[in-house]
Amino acid sequence: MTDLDHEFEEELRQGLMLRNAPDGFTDKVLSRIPEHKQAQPIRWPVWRWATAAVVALAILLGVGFEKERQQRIAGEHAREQVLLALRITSSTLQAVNHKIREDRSSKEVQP
Amino acid sequence: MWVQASAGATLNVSRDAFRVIVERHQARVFSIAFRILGESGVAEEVAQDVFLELHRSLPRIESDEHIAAWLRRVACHRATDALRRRIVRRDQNAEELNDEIYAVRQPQQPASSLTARVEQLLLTLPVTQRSVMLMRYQEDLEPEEIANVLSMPIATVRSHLQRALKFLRAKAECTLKEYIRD
Repeated sequence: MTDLDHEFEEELRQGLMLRNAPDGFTDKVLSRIPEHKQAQPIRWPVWRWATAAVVALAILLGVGFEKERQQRIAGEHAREQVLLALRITSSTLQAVNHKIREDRSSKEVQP
Repeated sequence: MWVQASAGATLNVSRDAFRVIVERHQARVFSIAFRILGESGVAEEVAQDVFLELHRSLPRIESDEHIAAWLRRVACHRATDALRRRIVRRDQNAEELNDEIYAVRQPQQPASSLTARVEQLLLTLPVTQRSVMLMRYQEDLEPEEIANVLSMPIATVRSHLQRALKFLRAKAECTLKEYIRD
């Protein structure tokens, strides 16, 4: 940006200093506010409380579901591990049995 | 403090407290309305409506800074709406609302020659660019803040600023220096 640009911007700022509202403006605004509303206590709207409650409930339910899901995953993983161990054990036992039978057969054949 | 907050999120705003709020921000709101509309009478009506809406919206206001941001946003929108309604009424044969036809009558009783000249130039801009320029050079907001106030992308704000500055620079027949008095 050139110096001329800066100068022009500064002139814009100077030219756009705030203008006061016409005389009596504030009184006119206040006169349009109904008397009985001027000191009305202001409360948080009901819908905001309801929304907050729904959001909190959704978060709690979500946390609960997630915890249950993770427990289920952990349980399934443990089950898989047990099944794998059983399969390994089973195949090992089968191999051992096969070996024993082979040994017995070879001994019976010999005189 | 302009309001007293009690436990339980309840705010009590007295008449006197609201008077202080109006007096503190009346120049800002009126200036925005006046420089968008170009007419004092209509601008005053719009400015009053803005403060009445503020009074109704006080439960949602969180701080003094929030008030200023809220007033800028609502003042721009209401003034723009008022301007467009006037254009439609004035030219009912217009086939479409075009920003180029939004230039209105000259402002009354300028505060200074420089102000008069700047306001006159501003009124030659499309209303959207006018609002952006006011937020930048009257309210001294950064582009990111302008984007938030006017609910438009930052890139759009920067584009409007660039185009408006270029247009105004070209339109000014002479520098504004001669209007600045010591």
